[in-house]
Amino acid sequence: MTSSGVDGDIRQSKHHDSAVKHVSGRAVYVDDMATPANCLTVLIGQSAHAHAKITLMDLSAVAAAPGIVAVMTAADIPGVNDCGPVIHDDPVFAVDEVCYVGQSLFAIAAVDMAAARAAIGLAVIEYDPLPAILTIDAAMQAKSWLASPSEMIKGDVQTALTAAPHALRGRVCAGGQEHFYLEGQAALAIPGEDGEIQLFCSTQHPSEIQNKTAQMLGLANHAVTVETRRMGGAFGGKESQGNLPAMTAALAAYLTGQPAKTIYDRDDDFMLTGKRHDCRIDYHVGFDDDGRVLAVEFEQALRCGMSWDLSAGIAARAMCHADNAYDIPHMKITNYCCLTHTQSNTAFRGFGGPQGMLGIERVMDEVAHYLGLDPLQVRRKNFYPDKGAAKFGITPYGQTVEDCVIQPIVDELVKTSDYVARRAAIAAFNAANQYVKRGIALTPVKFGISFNTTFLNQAGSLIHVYNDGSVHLNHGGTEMGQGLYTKIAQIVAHEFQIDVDLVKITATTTGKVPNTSATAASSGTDLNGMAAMRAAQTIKGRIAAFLADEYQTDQAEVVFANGQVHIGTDSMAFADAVKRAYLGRVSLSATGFYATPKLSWDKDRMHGRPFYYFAYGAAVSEVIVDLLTGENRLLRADLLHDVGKSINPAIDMGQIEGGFLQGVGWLTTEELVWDAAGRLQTHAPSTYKIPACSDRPIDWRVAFYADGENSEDTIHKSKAVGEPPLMLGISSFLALSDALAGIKGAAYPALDAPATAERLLLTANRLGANFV
Amino acid sequence: MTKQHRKFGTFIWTGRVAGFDQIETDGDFMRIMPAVTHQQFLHHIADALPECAELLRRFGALQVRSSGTVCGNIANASPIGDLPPVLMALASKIELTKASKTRILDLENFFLDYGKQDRQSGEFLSAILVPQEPAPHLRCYKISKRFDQDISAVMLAANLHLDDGVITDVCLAFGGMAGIPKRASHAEAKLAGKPLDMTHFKAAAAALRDDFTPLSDMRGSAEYRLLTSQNLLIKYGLDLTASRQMRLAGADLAAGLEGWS
Repeated sequence: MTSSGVDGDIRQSKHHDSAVKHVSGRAVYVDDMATPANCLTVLIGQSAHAHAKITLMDLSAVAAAPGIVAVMTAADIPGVNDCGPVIHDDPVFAVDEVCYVGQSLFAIAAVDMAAARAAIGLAVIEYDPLPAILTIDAAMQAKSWLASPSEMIKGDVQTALTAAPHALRGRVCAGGQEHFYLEGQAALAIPGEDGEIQLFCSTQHPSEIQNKTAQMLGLANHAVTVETRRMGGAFGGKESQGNLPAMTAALAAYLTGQPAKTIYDRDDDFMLTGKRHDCRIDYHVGFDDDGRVLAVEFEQALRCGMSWDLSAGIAARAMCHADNAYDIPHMKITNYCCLTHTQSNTAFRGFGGPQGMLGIERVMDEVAHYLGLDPLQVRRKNFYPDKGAAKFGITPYGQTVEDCVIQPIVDELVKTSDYVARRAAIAAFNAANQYVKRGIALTPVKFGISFNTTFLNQAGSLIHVYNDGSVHLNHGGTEMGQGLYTKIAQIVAHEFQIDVDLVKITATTTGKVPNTSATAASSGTDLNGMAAMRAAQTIKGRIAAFLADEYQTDQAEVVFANGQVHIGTDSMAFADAVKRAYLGRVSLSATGFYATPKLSWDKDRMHGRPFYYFAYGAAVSEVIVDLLTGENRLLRADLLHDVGKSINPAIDMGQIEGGFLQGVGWLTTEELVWDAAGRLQTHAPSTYKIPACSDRPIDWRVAFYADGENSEDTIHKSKAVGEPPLMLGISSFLALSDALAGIKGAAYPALDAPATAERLLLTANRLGANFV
Repeated sequence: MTKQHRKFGTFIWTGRVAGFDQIETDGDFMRIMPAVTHQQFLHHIADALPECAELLRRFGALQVRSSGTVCGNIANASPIGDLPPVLMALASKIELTKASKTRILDLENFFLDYGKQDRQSGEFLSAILVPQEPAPHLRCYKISKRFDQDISAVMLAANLHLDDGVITDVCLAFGGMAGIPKRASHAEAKLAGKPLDMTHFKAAAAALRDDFTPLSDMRGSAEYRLLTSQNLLIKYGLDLTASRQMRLAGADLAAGLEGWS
């Protein structure tokens, strides 16, 4: 099928549908929406203690303050006091006991934010402090876990470790990560008739907010409608953490009969919401002289915070990525979900995958150091067999790796990045310089695509074609800046063979497409693209059948191409065909539905085929470190990533660049610091440092793997791209470690993350770089 | 105000007082008036004091630099403000005015203790006087988690004169190491009257332990602050004795990495 005549067809680098509005400030976010004059502002009262009994909560002074319309506590909730996404262990308002500093105790609805801020401090709350567990170390020591540890086993790791020619043990720790979406959590609730609530939310998961709000208010789901036009970034932080702001706004609207909105400011957002799970990974690895890894045992400890949130899924994904791209005969992965008195950690781009992958990449690096080999050589020794291989590898969770392309990707990247020559040049540089050291690392990514939890892999769409030939597109996916809406519009434009401008992108709403999954797990385009394509195909089929009947010909003779509909030798504009179908009383509205095939997952055995396919990529990072200060720069990064056959190359490229740099930020400058009382100290941009534009690699080369094509029957043979590139950032972390390994006489650096200037300097100092 | 939601009775906005946005020449000094922004100052000293200009470039973004003022950075008296150490290293003075009375004092004497300055009730900082003379040995080292738009964990502004190969007028002014921006007098003593030789910079680095007992906070541990400060004195020595500067911040690294040591 030709597609050259369609503007915004698939494969074209169409800009993001809101790009111009984003940069000119005209894109409307929740807090920008015009609201009725009586709209209330909701502010949440927070716990001052990490763990304590609440002995007194006297809100009378708050209620009496000027401008306060309602004060809300657990007692005011007509239904269920819970905002947890999976397990009901996350109260909207704490009752009796608080479990982290910042936890929601009550909320007030005021005439404006100034009145709310002035009143909130008048609350009299008394506590009886209880012992608090704040860190992974403390939780592991106390066996403070959300559930008993889970295990994933392949082969016989104990026997293989004993028999291995070499073995070593080690530990790597990595900090958490704040999502730092530019738009904070935001929700607006408008009360309707008969207890109905209309919500406008900055959320990745409108259906869940609908569900949780209905439960809280004792309503059926049909009484609550949730709409999301766009988010100003989400990164997983609005998969479940949008529940609390939405539900407090909804409760205020329900109780007062007035519109109400909850908008977190940046500090409140940091204090209230969960982040990426920090982790502690212990490893015991057995290997031979050539660097072939024979067995690895991992103990992964994740700090989950005070409740489950999405931690079970995150732990499963961490375990499912402990192998990364390596075919290791014997593996045992034990995962501990640590219960601590801190924010409830949540989804964040990669969803446990980055932590799992960091563990095995660290193992490869240390094995190479032990053997005196280039880490690249060790990695290559252990890659999964290629998709053309006679025998495929099998993951520790029992999935056959049928589509592996990591070897050709790495081969090409080694060439295009000039890796070998640069490694030699760096060695020479390091031998000649004592105050600065350079380092280089190449790391691969193999990332499983699909929700681990099988039932979530479904999506719906709704398409109307109006009688002027214009199209109204709706689906369950949400737009968080990633370009999903644009890609889906291109898919629909392609299907109808019309210019993409004829396809109106509309806000995601539970009123049009029900029972949706979160836009998460990189699955947005895979799922919703298929659902939208199917709805378009249904309408096309009806038009074709009608025209075939009119022309007394076969339906196969009706072809949609380049804005035209051809019927045999005759043809007409798409709009004319639509008009004729309308006059012929043909339904021009259809839903589409998609459920990902081939999936199965036994979460008790941690076994099955959780992923439809894998996304692959690799990166080479080169860094320079100042051993006097720990300051460092990312000199060059070469990224080669497999997006399959791209639906929109410009958007996919943006995802690769942004994902990589966000991964670098996680492992370098982004440091969350809690004090001894469990208070988060870094709760604003003044203290929490995401990469700035000047932190991007000085020389940055990003390319698609040219032979990329999805082996499975995904939407137009593309591959998901939201999360996988984040883990390319691991190359920068290991390049920093490599630079420290260049210190004369240094032991293995055993660097932890985030590798801040401080950590690099103190590690260099420990390794023998002392100048005073 | 925006962050702490504090309420104040009366505000006096001085941003548009006539003449307040001027940088004037006053004998051997440049006279920085109270509403001169960082961006204005950056432009003014770009050629004469490139070290200071590069430091200013790392302050916030252009919008922030065009809003914040040099005098504000001083009067605020934050122990982690970056300009106080630099202006101290340049032997700057400040002018305080109350009605028609003015007095002038050395900048370093303005900071008395954490949260306490030598400023009487009713006085305002009416000008900063920065010597016009060239400062070829001035170096500014800002150590932060991120190069740009970050607050320092440690800031060193170092300056000295060479009189026939002998170090005179050495000033090692630190931010982030004490409750106020503060000179390292013990370290300075190890350099004063000595030739420009690494031995003495190492001795100064060792002596820094006698000057400071830094704190730990979310920007850096005490151990890190002390170690990196000591190393910065080594770096200062290397910068003055080696053929090129060794800085990763802001430098055009793409231009080449040879010649480090």
